[in-house]
Amino acid sequence: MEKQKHLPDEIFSDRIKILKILFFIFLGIILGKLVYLQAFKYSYYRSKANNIHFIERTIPAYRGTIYSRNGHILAIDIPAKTLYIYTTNVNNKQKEIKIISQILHIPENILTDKFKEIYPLIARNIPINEYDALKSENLQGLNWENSYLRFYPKGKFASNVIGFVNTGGDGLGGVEYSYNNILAGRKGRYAMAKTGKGRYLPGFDRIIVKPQKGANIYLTINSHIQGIVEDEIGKLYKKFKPSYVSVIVMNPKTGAILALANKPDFNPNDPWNYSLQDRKDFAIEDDYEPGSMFKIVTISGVIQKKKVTPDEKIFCHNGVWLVRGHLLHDADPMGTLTVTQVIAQSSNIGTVQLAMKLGRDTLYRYIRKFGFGEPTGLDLPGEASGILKPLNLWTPFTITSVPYGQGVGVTSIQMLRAMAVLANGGYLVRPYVVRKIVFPDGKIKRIQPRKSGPIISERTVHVVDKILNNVVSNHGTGAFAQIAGYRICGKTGTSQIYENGRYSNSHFVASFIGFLPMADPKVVIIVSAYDPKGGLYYGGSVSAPTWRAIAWRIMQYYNISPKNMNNQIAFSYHKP
Amino acid sequence: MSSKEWSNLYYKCLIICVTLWVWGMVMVLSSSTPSGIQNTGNAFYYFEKQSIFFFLGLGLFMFFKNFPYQKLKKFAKPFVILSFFLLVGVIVLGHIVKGARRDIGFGPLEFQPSELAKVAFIIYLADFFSRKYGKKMVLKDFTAPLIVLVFMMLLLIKEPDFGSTVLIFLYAVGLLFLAGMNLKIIFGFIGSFIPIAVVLVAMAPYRMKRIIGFLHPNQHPYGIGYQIIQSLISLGSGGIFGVGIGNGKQKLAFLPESYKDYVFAIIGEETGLIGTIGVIALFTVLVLICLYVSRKTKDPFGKYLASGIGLYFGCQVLLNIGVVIDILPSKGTTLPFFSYGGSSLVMSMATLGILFSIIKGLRTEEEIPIISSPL
Repeated sequence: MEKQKHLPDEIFSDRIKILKILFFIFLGIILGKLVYLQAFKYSYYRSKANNIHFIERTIPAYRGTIYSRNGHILAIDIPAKTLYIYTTNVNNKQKEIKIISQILHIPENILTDKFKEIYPLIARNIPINEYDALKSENLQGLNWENSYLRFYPKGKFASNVIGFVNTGGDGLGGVEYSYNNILAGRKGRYAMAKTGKGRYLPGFDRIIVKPQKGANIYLTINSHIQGIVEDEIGKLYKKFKPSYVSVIVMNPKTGAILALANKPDFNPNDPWNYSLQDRKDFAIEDDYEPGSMFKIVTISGVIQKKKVTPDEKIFCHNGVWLVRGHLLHDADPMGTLTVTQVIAQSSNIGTVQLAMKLGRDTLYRYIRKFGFGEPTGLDLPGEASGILKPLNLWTPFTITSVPYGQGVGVTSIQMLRAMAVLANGGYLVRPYVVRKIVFPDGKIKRIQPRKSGPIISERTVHVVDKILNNVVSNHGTGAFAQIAGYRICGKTGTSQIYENGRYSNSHFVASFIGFLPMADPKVVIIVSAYDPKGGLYYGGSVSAPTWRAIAWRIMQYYNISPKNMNNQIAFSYHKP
Repeated sequence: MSSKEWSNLYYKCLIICVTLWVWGMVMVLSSSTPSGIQNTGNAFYYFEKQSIFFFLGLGLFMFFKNFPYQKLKKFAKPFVILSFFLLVGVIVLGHIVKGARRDIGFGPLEFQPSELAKVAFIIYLADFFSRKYGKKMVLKDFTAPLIVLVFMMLLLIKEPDFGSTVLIFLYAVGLLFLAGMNLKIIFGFIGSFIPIAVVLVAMAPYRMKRIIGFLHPNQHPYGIGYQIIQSLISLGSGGIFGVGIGNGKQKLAFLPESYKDYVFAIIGEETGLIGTIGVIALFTVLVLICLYVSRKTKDPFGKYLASGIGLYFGCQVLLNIGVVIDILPSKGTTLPFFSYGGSSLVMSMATLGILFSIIKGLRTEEEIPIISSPL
């Protein structure tokens, strides 16, 4: 009966079943692998496929426009065309290279090298006439990508504040650098399809990420005041040929920079044609010894601590004083002066005596309180901290130099901020150049002024202002800064440049700093000329006249009338 | 088999066939257009040729469907002899494509004798085993089919057409197994071919390369591993839903032979996992129908023929997909109906016609009233 079980049909059916099982085992393996490939490894293979199917390109974003406070355009992106070529789509490369070489004036051998790539960059920002010429030729594989050319319509105007960009559109200086992330927006990306042979495949371009416009920036810079400053600084630069000269105009109450200019300067449309020296923002990047301007700190401390009264008498040792083993000199020998006169006539010997009444610890504290030894926090790149020796490095002799601004390094912006304390009732402001950011979606961010303090009392401010008003009088060193009808507080500064291990007798920094009108100061202005030539070197004679011209024109711009004229004609006082 | 069961089977099979044909033609169109432009300038060049073969195949399908399959017994030997003549002819006279002579030209159309040989061999074996059905067989009974097999394999190797060689060997093993041959003999039979295979691989450097490419594709991403890497990228990048028929990028000169042996990768890219599983499901149901029919048929020739047709499709599909998804080394096999290639399409459709003829036999055996055929 065993044979019965092995009927041909049964054997056949059994073996069919076995074949089926084998078939399904194999099928199971196949399905397993397919699920693995297509479901689990999808993203891996998708990105691999995208890598080989597409050439990814960035889409430049429209960089934000920079405006002045008054809405003048200072920096703007201009749409341009950048030429790429799909070389694999070009049939006659030799002929095409020849034509492009003729139109764009690119040597043929350079183009031949570029044509070895699949998608080379041929030329950026092509001018319209060359663009038209190329379009009229029947060329293959040309692809015009959008690009933007940064344009500074006012050229050198406010270049140190605005800064400049590199060919890739990244900010390299000024606001262009410090606000790069805000201005730049976000670059987009798009993909172009290609075949396995590298040929471009039209019709498959797709945008992966849309570019996002950058935000517009409104500066605190007032175009008119900036124009005045650049005009006057140009005259000074021409007349005295200093290595550098810088002017800053600030609103003392808020810290808003209304104008900032340096000479030499540069044109941000063409930054590479200027040297690093030309592009340097002397006003904030370099420190120098402030000289007598620094006496405002000493006198403020002394008055605040009530060590003296303005009318107290100080003996000035007739111009030569042996103190702590060193000889101190005054430019002009002076006998007994009041405290006011010590500052107005800028006696170093008198100032050191005031400082000694204060003591080195308190003096140092006041220097720090006035913001020296650290950056001001100005929103421009490259700001220097200045040089202030920490107290533990002070020698007994230090107090005989620092009070009148020797042996201490400051930047113009630090000096200006310290002066602003005396113009705004005792507060230390943070200088800033950007007052408003307007985002593409219409949101507006206004920069709020920041200040700390008061660091000295209103009484001290009042007293010191009166002393500084005496500087800008016929008896003071700042006589050339006088403007009839305006009460001005100011201070001259003349410092010897420290070079080759000693203080030079022929190279000076001539500065003038001041604010007006005294009753309600609108602007605080500093003019600093580094190493002026031609004989004159006093701050009162080199910088004060420029300061005066600027201040006078700003007062006119602000329409602030002179007061207590006593029949004088405004701006009648004019000496070189 | 009841009338209802029978018509269910009949229409199920018909729907499967029509779906395979239509989808197959769509994929030929989709996968061949870039190569058409590249090679001939005419995007539809391959599709047009395939369409001519499709209608030829449809004619043969109709013919064999209505042709009593029992009469094929008479043609078993003539077909094999014809195949031999054509195989010799192609080796002597054939077009050389990529170093292989596989086609004989008939005017504008080419024909691959190896496709005929595969079907002829199955009919021959079905005839041979049906004569021995139910009888005890000893090894020397197999002398004739063994000689046919060895000669056919030698001619196919000479072309060279390694894929068809392997397929014919698998058909022989499969039918030998179904014929109730002792398993020891079957394993001995398989074993005796292993040294031959090793020698063949060692003799032809390109076969060696294919195996290296299979084992280590990523070590040769631009050489022998290129095709398989591109194949996997096609499949994987299709994900579950695919990029849409016609939207695939891999056929744009990335994946070589994307419209021939590797069309399954394009199916994977364009229709995703849903598409690949769909194709596999269609073929699975077709194979299962073949095996079902072979069990139901009382006539031994019909039994072997139906199961042989099941082997014919099953082995081709498994080998082709196995290569495309990188679980088998590359050997050159087509995916029936989907790969471009007229001979394969024509013979596949003719084979389906024979299957339908056997299905018809199931009905007449039960003496069920004739149902008007839709075709």
